[in-house]
Amino acid sequence: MQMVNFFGKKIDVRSFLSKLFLTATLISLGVFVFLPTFYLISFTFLGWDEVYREVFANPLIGDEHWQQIKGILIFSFRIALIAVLIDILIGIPLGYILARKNFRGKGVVEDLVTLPLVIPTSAFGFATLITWTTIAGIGGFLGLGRGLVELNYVVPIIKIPFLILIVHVTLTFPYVVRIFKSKLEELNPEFEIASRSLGASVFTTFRSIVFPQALPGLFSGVVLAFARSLGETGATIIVAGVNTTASIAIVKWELEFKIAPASFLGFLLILIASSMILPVEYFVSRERSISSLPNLTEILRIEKYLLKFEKTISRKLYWVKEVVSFIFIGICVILPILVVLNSVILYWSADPYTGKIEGGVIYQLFGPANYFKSLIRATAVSLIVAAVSTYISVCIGIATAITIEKYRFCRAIRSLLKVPLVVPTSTLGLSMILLWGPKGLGLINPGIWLIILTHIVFSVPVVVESALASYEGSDVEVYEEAARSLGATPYDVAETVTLPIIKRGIFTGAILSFTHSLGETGATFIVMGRDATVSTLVVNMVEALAIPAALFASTYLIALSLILLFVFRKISK
Amino acid sequence: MINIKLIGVTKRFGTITAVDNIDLNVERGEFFTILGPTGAGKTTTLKLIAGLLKPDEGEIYFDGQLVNDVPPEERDIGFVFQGYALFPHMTVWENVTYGPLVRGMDPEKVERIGREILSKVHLLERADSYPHELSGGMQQRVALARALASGSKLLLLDEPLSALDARLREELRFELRNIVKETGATAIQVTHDKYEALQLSDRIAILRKGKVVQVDTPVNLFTKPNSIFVANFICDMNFFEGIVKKVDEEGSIIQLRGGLLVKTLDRTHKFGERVVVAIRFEDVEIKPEEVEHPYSIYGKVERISFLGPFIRIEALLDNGEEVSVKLPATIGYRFELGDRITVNFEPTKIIVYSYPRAGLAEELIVE
Ligand SMILES: Nc1ncnc2c1ncn2[C@@H]1O[C@H](COP(=O)(O)OP(=O)(O)O)[C@@H](O)[C@H]1O
Ligand SMILES: [Mg+2]
Repeated sequence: MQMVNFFGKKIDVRSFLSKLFLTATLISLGVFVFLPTFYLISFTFLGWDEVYREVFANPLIGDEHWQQIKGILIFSFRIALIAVLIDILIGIPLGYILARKNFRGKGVVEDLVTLPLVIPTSAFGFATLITWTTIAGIGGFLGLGRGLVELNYVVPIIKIPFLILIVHVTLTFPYVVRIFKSKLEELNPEFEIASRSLGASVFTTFRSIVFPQALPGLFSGVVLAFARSLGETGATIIVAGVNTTASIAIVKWELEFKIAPASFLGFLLILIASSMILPVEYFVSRERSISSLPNLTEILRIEKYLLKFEKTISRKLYWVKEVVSFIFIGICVILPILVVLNSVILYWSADPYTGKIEGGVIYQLFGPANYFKSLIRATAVSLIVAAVSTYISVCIGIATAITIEKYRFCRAIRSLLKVPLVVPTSTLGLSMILLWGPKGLGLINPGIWLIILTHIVFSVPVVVESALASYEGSDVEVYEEAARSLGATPYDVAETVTLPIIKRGIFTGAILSFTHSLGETGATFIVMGRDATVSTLVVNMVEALAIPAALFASTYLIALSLILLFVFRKISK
Repeated sequence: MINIKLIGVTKRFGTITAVDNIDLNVERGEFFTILGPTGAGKTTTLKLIAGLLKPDEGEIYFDGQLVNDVPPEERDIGFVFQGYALFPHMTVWENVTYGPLVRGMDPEKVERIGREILSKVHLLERADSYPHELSGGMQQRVALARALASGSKLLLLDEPLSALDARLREELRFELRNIVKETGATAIQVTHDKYEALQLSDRIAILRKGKVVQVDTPVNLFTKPNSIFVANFICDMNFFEGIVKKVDEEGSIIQLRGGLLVKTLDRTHKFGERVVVAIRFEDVEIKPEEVEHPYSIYGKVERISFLGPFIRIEALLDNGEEVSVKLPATIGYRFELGDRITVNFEPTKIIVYSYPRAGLAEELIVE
């Protein structure tokens, strides 16, 4: 083994290098990914006196902020809860269909399910808004002469604003569908065949055999969906009307310099998100967790009548799940996109109803407002941010994935990395600005560099997770051992065996983080300073009531995300 | 007990015809085996009978009832899977009683059946274990118990023993047959292991490329294989190409490559016809020296393999063809590598087949 003289000591080069690698990885993870999140937590503690004064005992308004925070949290939780329940209702049958059935156009349905994950949420929120509330949308098709619903229409009984619910369900159901589906695909279909040959109907088989085994998958999907709903900003801000959710409140308060209540709310959200994800992580990662679930036979004894019922629906109503799933996708995913396209064409040269050219896309883009220039600049910012943050995230992500696989004590990092994924992005933006910005370390001012740093935080976990998934999906360890036995050094092994095998996983992660970065709104809003990205620009346009310009920008973003989806599909196939 | 009939059943997967127009008739209480090489369509046939797949053409009858459109859960069958497919999240007890429960039997009856069937397979004391805690042999017995627990009249077994090691497989063969016979169920087993098929079955259907080649009892299959494929697949046989040189009342004389002559009792082939002469390894007479005789064939020992009680000798004949001979070890030890030998084919032991259209080599492919 090669030795060098180093500060008068003999040091084994190889172990020195691997220690260096480990240290560098852990430091960059710590600084770039974990520090901001934990900074916000410590900020709340360190500045507790001020937080307390502002939130609970303001000399002017008393505990008004605390009351607001409580109300907002409860409101956000109600939305997330209902949205996730609907996700489950749609996600289970849809995931099952995609995992077990073969039909023409399945690829298209899969793409449509992925689309809400890659679509910039502000553009999607805008599309949903005009679909439901304007004459250009459903109302117009039905000949009502107005939108189908009012902006602030509240669904009775559950008392949740309709539009918020719609966008939250649409933006979160893919998590449930995709994760449930991939869990089902891991399950040997022979279990189902065995159950049916033993006399169980399709529904009974699903309930007693498939569902218990796929439950961990459903759980992780549900948690991600729930967290995503809590943190959703881009679309919500557009359709919220008079309502305020937690993540919107953070953006608003930050912009109004109400740092104390904003950071306290962010602190609470981080606590809630981590206390949700970490136990689930534990539950899912434990082997044989399923066997600790309630005894099936007991339930069966009580619910004997259920069997008959299931038998009937298996025979007569087997088509319901297909129909419901496809109608949902049609209305919530396809329709808004079509409406936006249609409206852009209608509004191209002038407002079709008043005939004014000021209300046309062309005038707004190239007229005095010159939104075209802003759009071009925002596109440049978005692409630079997405490219740079993805590149850095991939570098950190690969190193992290290898570290997690190589060092046992680093396994916990994997679960910890789930935290930035479920922390609401506006909270993340807030902690970034508090940490790096003028009030914190004062190193980086709001602007493109801070956006890049922010996007790295949620991109690294995505890259790591898909790299690890492809690592574990392909018996890499066997090949690594074979390479070692053939005389390769650990470094050779990483370069010649590990990386090439997990390349696809890294690509997938890179594409995901690129699209995520393009579409991110909540955090970007807070940290962007004057460097607006395309997705935040859409929000600005809507707030400035420049509807035709917003239509154009949305179409443009949707087209961009469709291209990315195409790339994503090519790579992940 | 139930009688199963397949008439002209065909199943295609895209361009592949996995099961090609097959007819089968399985009698009540019979232990029936479908034997064939991998990819022959055995599993597909079994799934068609179970209702897990639907035939593209043809009819399937259970006791004279057309069942083409009956879903699997209503066919009242027990299916034992190749990998057992024991539900991993359920205990042995839950696995075994799953069938009776989902069929809506009373709890007391379920309890009784569970105990009965588990004690039959000697696993009552492991009732609370999870499948992954059991050995392969035990898992196999749980799978069998689960399939039998619903009291089905038809048991379908897909390579039921193939996941076990060789020794255990032989032990479990008879146990399997006994348990099945005790319940009186009709059983259809699928396997690619000829010894398993020959030992266990009342009758065997040989499947090749989706077609049934021969259906017969093990003894008949072994003694009267109706085709070169079956002969090769079931029995260890030598095959030689030849031409019929003479036919008379006693039989025929066939000329092999290199002008060698073979005398047979066969009279079904005409003068000048191209044929294949087949003879079992154990039926070849072999002597460790050159013996003069009109039908003697000479050669040289090329390889000797020791198979426990038997020895197999492979020799290169002077006409360039190879012959394998199986001898009891007590006689076989006399031969050594390179020895000159004489072989004789006893006319009564020879089977003559018409030369296959696709060529001899094609018929000898078993994979
Ligand atoms: N679900 C399927 N889709 C496409 N081809 C199949 C399917 N199942 C079986 N096959 C094909 O049908 C043929 C017969 O398969 P199988 O019945 O499994 O054979 P065996 O059980 O005799 O090995 C094979 O060529 C196999 O590839
Ligand atoms: Mg098979």
